[in-house]
Amino acid sequence: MLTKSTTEATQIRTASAERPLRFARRADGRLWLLGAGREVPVRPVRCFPWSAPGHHVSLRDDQGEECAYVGDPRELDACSRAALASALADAGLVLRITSVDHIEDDQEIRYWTVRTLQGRRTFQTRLETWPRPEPGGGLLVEDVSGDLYWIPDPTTLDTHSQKRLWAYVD
Amino acid sequence: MPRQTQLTDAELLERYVGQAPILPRAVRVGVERQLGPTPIRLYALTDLDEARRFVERWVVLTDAELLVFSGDGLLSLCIERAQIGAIDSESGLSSHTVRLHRRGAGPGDEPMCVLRYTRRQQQVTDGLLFVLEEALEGRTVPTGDPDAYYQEGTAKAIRDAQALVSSHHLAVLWRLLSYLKPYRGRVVGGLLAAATITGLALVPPYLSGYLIDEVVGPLQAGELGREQAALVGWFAVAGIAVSYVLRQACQFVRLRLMAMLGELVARDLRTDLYKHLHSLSLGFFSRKKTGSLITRVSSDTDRLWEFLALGVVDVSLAATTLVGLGVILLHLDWRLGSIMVLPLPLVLLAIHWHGKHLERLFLRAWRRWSALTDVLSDTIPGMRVVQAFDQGPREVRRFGERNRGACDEFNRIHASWTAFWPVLMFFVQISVVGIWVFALPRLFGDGSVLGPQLSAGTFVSFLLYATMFTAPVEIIGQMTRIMNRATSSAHRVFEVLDSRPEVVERADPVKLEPLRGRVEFRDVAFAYDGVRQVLRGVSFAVEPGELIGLVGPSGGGKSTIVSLIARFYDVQSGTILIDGVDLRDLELGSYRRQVGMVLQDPYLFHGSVLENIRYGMEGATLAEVIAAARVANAHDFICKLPHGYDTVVGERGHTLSGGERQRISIARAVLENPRILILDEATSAVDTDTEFRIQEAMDRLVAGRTVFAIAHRLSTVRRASRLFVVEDGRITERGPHAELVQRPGGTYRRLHELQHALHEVN
Repeated sequence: MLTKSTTEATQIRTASAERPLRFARRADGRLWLLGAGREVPVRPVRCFPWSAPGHHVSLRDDQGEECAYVGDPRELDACSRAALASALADAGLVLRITSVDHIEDDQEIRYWTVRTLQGRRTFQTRLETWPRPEPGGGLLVEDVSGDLYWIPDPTTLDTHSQKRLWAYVD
Repeated sequence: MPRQTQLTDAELLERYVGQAPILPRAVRVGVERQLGPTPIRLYALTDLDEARRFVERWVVLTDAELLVFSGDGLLSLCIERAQIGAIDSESGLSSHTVRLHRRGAGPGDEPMCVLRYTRRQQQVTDGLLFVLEEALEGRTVPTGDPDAYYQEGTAKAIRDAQALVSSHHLAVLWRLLSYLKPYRGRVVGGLLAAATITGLALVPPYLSGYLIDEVVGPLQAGELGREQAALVGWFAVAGIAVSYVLRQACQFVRLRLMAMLGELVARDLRTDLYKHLHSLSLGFFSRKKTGSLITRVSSDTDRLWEFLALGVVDVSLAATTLVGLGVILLHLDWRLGSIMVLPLPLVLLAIHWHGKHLERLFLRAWRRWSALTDVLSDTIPGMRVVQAFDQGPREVRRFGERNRGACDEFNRIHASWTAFWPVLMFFVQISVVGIWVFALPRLFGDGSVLGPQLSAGTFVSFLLYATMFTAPVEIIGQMTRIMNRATSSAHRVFEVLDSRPEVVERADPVKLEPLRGRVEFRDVAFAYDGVRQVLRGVSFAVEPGELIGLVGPSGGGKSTIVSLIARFYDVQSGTILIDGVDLRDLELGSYRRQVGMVLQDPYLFHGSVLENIRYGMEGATLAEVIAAARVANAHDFICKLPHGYDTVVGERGHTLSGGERQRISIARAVLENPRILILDEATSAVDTDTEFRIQEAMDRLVAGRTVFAIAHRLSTVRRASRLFVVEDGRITERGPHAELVQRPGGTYRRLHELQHALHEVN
């Protein structure tokens, strides 16, 4: 367990009744932290993108310094919550697979052709990179460029996709 | 010349990535229509739209404009580069967003242009943005061929992941077989022996049939005398015996020749491979994992032995045997022969399908096996942590679960093949029963509907030939696996052999011996990826005997400067002069022998202390070794080792402490007596006492040489003749310690004060 002094030593700005955090998306397309005499564009970072994607968001300025932290977005007012959610959707974009058209193993590399919510895509993974089960359920596949492909629930895919995935999932 | 087996970057993009291999013609036409004839400096594909759906959107950079086009050449934006005042970017899990802001725009104002793209496009797009950012600072970046930059940057991730991208498996096999050329005699001998074995295998069935039809039958019918029958009979038996003897003799010749041939080719490949590795530049080794390179020299060449020694001949002979047997069976009796031959394609197809099914099962098993070995590679090196946190039982449980998982998958494989082969063999044997069913009436002489009467001898020959059918079927069943293993290994081996060194010595290099040690950088720029510069216009001149301290934040360019001095890379613009001669004109070997390095993490080879100190100067006398060790403050601790200078230090010198390893590496540098010396954080990560000893050794080492010392701890370079503060690819401050520490607002002064404060706290 962390002691009180340890937690106090790492305190940064969080939402509270006295000093609520407010956010807005401005015309420049960025998320801004407002109030407390300071307005600064920030970048939201999910601390647990897979274990708890809706909670624990660290807000960082352009120098990468943490300037605020939101443990639970429900602490925010509705506008701020919407602004944060939209910024998180941008930052947390992963390519969601809706069907698997083809998987082929070649020399040291595996070729995938899939359909995603974003459109059809061909990508490659290293042979030793297997789809990774995520704590919140679902599978995550990382291609050689670092792009992430997500299958929230493999059992909801069509039969052919499931058959093609069979060797790669438990 | 070996055939080309590697795909170009453009072919790779088109075939596997599903992305245009070059800027579409429609976009080029669009650029020309918009701006007239103008050179394109760089271009990139941005593949996400505002709704985060895939889209083909090309960003084209000319000298004065930035244009955005759709894939079919429709212009959506054209802005003057001079209008761009600021650039900001955000990185997400699988996407990047870049915003270009108008000059003079206020915070929060709408940007002129927003670009979104996946990580696949990151390297190329980042290069383009780097050029824009540099332009904002008033700097121009040379860009080179935009097509090559786009193709290389997009294909790089696949190239780094895969040994050699090629779809020409047969070309790879042909190239591999070209290594047999120097051993033509052995190959021909082995093939002849193998062909003879196949031919001789046909003799016993033929003679058996002949014995029954021409000797036993006529003798029993009283048509042949006993003595004549005995003579012919024993000749036939002797013929069978001789065929067996000759067959085994040929087998001996074949195995001996081909096994050794495989070994010779594997040896040649290993030698070529290892020799070639030494000619490659450091960039290659930073891209490839050490383990992967070791595997190529060891396991992969060994696998190729298996293919060359056994696979080539076995597979080709199995195919020949099957065809030959089919012809013989049909020739002996086409009706019975058809019973054996006609189902053959089905049998081969069944084997092929089973192989495919097994591949998927093996894939699952391999995945489970990886999960099992992950636990081992995690916990064994980290055993200290496991025990400190008392997590042994949990790790045992984790291993047990994965062990069970792997066992289940392997049992699934066993369940599959153990069911398949008996069923397949049952059907093959059913064919034999079928032969009996159709042959028996004809043997009895009442099978007119089924064919003419069949002699017992012909039938026996037929049956014996039929039993020879199984082995080649099994070998051909394994052919895919053998070929896949061989091509996979050959790919990996050829990738190294096809890699070209980035640093190449010119045809008639200048040999400077001894060097005086004057080093001059003239407007040197360098980028590891060809565009994003890590050194920008660096110029300095260092006189022989000067000690230069390189300080500054990490990633500033200090290590790149010393890498360029050691000529691990060549500059892309500007010149490095050594004693007034362009470094690229110098003989590489002679130059590097006169450049010494002492690194932060000194590397010792498995061998004795003596061998390690003498690594760069094999001919040094023992007295010289001791003298060098004394200079390095290493002699005393070496004498305390159980076998003195003959103590074996173990892999990477793991039996010694960090400070001891460092002092041995200093002794090595002392013995080499370099004219230019590079010290890279040589005193970090050691205790104060050891640091003092190392510092003392280094003070002796640097005397009379040109020295470049990288240091984060400023105390170690205070005595430098001059200090260069390297930040963001430039030398921002230069001068002696006393001068820099007085400079108000200077980086060196700030770093010095920070370290002083830290020292006070400690």
